[in-house]
Amino acid sequence: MEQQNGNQWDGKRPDPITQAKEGWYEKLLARVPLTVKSLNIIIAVLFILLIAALVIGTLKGRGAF
Amino acid sequence: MQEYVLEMKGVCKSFPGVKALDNAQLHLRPGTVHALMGENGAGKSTLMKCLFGVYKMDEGEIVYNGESVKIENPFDALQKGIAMVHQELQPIPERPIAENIYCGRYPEKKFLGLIKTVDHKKMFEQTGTLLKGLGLNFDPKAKLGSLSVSQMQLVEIAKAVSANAKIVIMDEPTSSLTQNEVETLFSIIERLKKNGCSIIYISHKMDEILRISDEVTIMRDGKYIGTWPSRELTTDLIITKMVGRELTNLYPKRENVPGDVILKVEDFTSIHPKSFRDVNFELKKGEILGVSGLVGAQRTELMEGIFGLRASERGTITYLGKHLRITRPKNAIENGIALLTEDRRGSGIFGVLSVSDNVSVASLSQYLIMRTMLNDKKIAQLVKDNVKKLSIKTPSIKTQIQSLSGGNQQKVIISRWLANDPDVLIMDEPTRGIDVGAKYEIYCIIAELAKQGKSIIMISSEMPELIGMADRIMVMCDGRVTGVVDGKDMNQETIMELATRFAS
Amino acid sequence: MKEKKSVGNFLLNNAMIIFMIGAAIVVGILRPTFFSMYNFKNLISNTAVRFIIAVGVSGCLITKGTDLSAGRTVGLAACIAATFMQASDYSAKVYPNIGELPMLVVLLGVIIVSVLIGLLNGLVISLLNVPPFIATLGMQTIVYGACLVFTGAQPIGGLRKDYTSISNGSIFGIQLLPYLGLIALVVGVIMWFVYNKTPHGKYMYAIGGNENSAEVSGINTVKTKLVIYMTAGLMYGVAGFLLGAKSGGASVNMGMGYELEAIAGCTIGGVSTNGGVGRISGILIGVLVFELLKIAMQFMGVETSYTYIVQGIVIIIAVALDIRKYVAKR
Repeated sequence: MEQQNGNQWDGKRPDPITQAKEGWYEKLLARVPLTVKSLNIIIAVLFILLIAALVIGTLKGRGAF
Repeated sequence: MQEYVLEMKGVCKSFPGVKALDNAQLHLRPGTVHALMGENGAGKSTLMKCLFGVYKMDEGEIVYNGESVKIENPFDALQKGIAMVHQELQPIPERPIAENIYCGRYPEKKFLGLIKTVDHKKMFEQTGTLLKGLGLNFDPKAKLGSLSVSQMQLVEIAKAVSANAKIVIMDEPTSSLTQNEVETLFSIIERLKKNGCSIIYISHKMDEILRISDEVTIMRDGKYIGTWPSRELTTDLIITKMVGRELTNLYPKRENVPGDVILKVEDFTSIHPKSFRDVNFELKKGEILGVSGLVGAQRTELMEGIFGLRASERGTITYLGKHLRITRPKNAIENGIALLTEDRRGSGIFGVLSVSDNVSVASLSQYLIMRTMLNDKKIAQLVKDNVKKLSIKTPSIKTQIQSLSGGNQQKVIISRWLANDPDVLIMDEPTRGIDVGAKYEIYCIIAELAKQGKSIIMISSEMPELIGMADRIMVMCDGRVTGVVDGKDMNQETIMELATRFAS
Repeated sequence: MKEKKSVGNFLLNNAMIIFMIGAAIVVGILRPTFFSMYNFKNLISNTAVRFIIAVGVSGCLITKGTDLSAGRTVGLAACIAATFMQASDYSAKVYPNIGELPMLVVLLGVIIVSVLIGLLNGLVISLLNVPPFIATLGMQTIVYGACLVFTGAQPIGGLRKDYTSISNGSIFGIQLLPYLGLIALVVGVIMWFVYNKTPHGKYMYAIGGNENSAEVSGINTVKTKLVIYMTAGLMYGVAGFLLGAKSGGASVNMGMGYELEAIAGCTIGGVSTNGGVGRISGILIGVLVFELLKIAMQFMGVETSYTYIVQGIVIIIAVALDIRKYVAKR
């Protein structure tokens, strides 16, 4: 079977095959192995960092160390 | 040798608000092609996604080669020898074919003995061998995006084969393939069978199923109905089991009477040399004009051109004697033409918006107070009327449309266009991806619209559908109209001949 | 079983807002003077200005775009406003020959400039199809340059009393109803109307939801996007004008980085990175709690560097929570 340039681009609307514009976000999400579970963990870690930054920043600002 | 290479038993899986799988089962014999059939929403894809590790089963057991296994994720599935060819392609068009095939598991070599790098040479070589072995003549280094949609689907299949799978799941593999390519696929399947591979084949196409499969499992509403050897089955039997009731007629009785010609398209040619050219056809009032042809015949492109989505180099569109100048969709809409696109998800629905918004979005200018403010009450009435008229199943008009089934989504889009009271409705694959029950409802809607005097242009790749619904059928091949058939000439052979006249 | 799940989900989706309100309460418990009229007035006037900017950016975000030139445009607007609102007896007046202009005239002038900037953004994005990130990033630099030229890198001060009193005054002298708050409220109500009750608003959500479908439905995507970016410019102009009054002066550094906080406020408030979703009420809450956090940190004496770290983490969490909604469910 020969390869052929199947879908043509007519200059008016992006070629549905090669256009990466629409749906790029969904494709990106699909390629990155994120799941709800892993995101929950990431968010939990971020929250811990957040609280740590707040506490350390407060202590430093008050001259504790 | 086991009786079954794979068994799925007692599988249950629920999502918020819906029980997708209710004690589903599958028993796969080694070296066979096992078809999995059922209406949309019957649970076929869900069951396979559980097998492939995309979903976690709530309950149930998978017994693989006599042992009970747990499949954690798709990577795990691939390692165990289970591969899946997806219905929705997820290609990376800018990268070479070889990279797409080995995505995530590139052959590696050690640079300076320390750093792991991709072994491009090996990857291209392996891809070349793989493709040749399957009878596919693609250049492994070529960008995936240079292939047509149907060719990309074949690459997807090659990808599954390259994983040395013992079980290959194929979900609607022929949805974008030409007849020739379907033959290639079937020979690939035979090759796989000879190598001891077992195939689970999901499809809506009855004739394919009856031809290629050894056994057929039918599901309905997430439940297991039964398994039968395919030689004991016929199309009618399968449909009856899928739907659970006798269907005497697949297509409604049509009472429309085509009148005079209202639309005339002459010499319509795309700006692109490989797209539609020199198209001439006429459309009568109250007629259903079918449009047939192979994938790549430029039917969709032609209709998009008429609707103003694609540029044309020359040609005229005459509507009721008036010359129409259509450069954007708004022009077509204002002249009473509507287009139901082929790709519902990509260019039809607004997934995150409500049913109400989806219905009203193209006719908002009709529902304004003092020229600026939306008349919410009237819009709600419009939506509710349509929900009732077309029997749209939705919890409320404020529900997000993406939670509705394919058939109901399609009805919402039809309502959107009906709100403008068009005279010409162009429908591109109106029943694609819709289950048998909802298909019939849509056929009834189309028949009723034609009876009311509206003209319908219906593009479809299912010939029985066109023969059952259309008054005349226009056939295209390679961008040109090869003929228009009606009456006794509306049969598979004549249409096929016209559809392949210029095909390579 | 289903009940528990939706409570959990509600908590997670609004986690940022709940956290920041919680943090404020903790601060209030540790030091009750936190709940003072001074802090309250600060909160309202800061939120008012930031809210107007966030509303401007929200249109861009909802249509899957962005506007990185927001901050510098606000800065330019503030500088222009301040320049023409200088007191006539100010020794370092920039244009000593021009007398005192009516405030509304200056406001109008500022708005014309900022809307023009928005128009340019819109044209480049919708006609030339340049990705909004790149287009507005370029505009950000251009606007900064323009501001440098206009101000000659000199700060502007000596503003008229009637101008600066906008930020201090309140209706009938009632402390709880400051002018700034009222102006922001009016802006919010008008934009709520536009977003929810006009065809333009529906088209905006449609384009954000699925631009291809919007084109097929006959929506003029070019026109809608132009209006969106011009409206954003309008918002930045108004916010800049108010900011000049509030700060009693302006300089070329004003507004730097404001777009990031505006986007953060929007994201916390429910505007989705995936497009097609976002509510004015949410944006108000998002901006409010973010300002609340800033005031709380300042009140507690958190070291400045750490306040930046905290704000950055907050933004990342907000985006992560948003992405989480769209990741495939297992």
